[in-house]
Amino acid sequence: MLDSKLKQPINILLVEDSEADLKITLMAFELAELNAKIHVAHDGEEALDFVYNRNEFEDKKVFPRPDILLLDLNMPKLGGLDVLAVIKADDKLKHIPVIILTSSRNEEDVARTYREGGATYIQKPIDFDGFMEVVDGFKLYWEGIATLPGKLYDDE
Amino acid sequence: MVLHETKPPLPMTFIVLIISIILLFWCDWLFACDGVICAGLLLTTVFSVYLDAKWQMVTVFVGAAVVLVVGGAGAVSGSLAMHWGQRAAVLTMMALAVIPLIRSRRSDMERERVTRELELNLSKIDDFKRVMLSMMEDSRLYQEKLRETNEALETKVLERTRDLEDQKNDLERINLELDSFVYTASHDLRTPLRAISSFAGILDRKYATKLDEPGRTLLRDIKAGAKRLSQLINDLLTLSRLSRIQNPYESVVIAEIVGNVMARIDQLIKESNATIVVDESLPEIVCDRIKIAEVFVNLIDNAIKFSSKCDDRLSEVRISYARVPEGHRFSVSDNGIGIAPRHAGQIFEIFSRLHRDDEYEGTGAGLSIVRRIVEGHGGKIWLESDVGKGTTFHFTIPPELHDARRVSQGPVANVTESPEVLDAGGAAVYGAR
Repeated sequence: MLDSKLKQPINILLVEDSEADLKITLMAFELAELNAKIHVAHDGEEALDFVYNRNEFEDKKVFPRPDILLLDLNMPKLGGLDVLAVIKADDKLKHIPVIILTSSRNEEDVARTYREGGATYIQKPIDFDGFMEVVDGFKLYWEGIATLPGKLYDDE
Repeated sequence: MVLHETKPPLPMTFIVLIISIILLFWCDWLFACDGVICAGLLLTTVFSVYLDAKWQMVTVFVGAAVVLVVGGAGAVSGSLAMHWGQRAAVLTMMALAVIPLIRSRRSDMERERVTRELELNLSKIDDFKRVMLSMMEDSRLYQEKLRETNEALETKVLERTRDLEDQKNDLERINLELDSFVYTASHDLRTPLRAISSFAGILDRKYATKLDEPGRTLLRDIKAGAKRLSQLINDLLTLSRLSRIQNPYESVVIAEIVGNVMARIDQLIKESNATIVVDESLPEIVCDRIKIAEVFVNLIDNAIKFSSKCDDRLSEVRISYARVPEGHRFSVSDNGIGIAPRHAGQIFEIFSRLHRDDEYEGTGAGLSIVRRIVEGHGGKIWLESDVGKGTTFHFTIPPELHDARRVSQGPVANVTESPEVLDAGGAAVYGAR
């Protein structure tokens, strides 16, 4: 088992419009003791503002480019799949793994996620025990097993 | 035409005339008078052949009367002067002339008889013809009436069929709307439910130590309630998906399906120490692969669940097959607690349960899902049970199901939609009875 504490914390951008789901997700990450800094955007437009450091997210020090994007699908203004499309179309952003975390399980959405470069499609479990399983799995995979592109692209 | 050929030849009459003129010069005047009358008479009779039957007779009798009167008078006045030879000659001539006449009369009569007979026959034929024609007319009218009746009947049947079809379409539409309502409603219910269930979970993990025992019990009750609600919603989603989503009919090896199902519920089989005996004769049939798998999952799961709590024996489940006139019959039997006959109909209703939740878990949707799938295939489901000894569920699937749906819907819709059923079935379907 790799010791995640020794590593730099990963920057995660969590894009979620539902306050309850946001709270649950944050709580699960906290309980899982994920070595990560979690930033929050409340809809698709905010998510793009964040990754492009626009408007209130201008400060690159406070709002660094995320290492992982956790995207909800059904959001006002700009949906998760639209955000995914923008990110995968941008050479400077398309290396970021985008994980869809949503309550729906529409087969077409699942297919589109992978077709358009999404890393994983996760359906939100109905209870917290299930949620913890998902977050534990997430921690094991992204902290322990996978290697992220890191700061390779940050120099520009 | 044929009848007229029997008339006496005309030259005969001229010969008689010439002989009469010779006799005129041979005898005295009185006798000559006798001869002329005879000749005239003969001519008349001979020509009378060319008249019709009635006038012929009249002519002959009038002629005969004239001969008798005139000849008689001549004979009386000149009998002394007339020679017997002359008289004999005249009579002979008369006889000679009359023979062909009689013959012709006879043939005329014969002809008339035949004609009459023919006419009679013709009239009979005519009558017959008329009868036949009227019969034919009757039959034509009858046929027309029959045709009209048939047409009216057909129109009526068509109208009825259309009405029924309309009703069927309405019902199907309402059913679909209802299913899609159930789908949307259940889907929307999940979001707040996740909040309740998850916050209760967080509370349990983070703050359980800060609560006293009654508080922790309440927290557990909230979690249990949320879990149950989640199962019910999942079952509703599954049921609505069964109608909304039609997977293609395909050739399916049932042994393979049963194998997959057993892998899916492996944990339950191990926990309950159940023995599962699978008939080796399980066939390959045409059906909806995903839905039939759901049928087996539910029936086997039920069989294990209701046979695993008997103290005196271990759970044993048999899956068997028989080819019956209605098609393929599959049976899943257990050695469990059994079902009383009065409950046999009730258990197929949605969310109907015979046991408390703490006795046997489940929402009571499983058998209702099973029935919906089997009936959707055009099959039947029923059960046999001995209370305390076990239960057997039988279901049939008709042979030679054709995939009409795939043709009408196009394969694309099925490819994208079919896995949804799998999703719904996965965790949700297990609870039944």
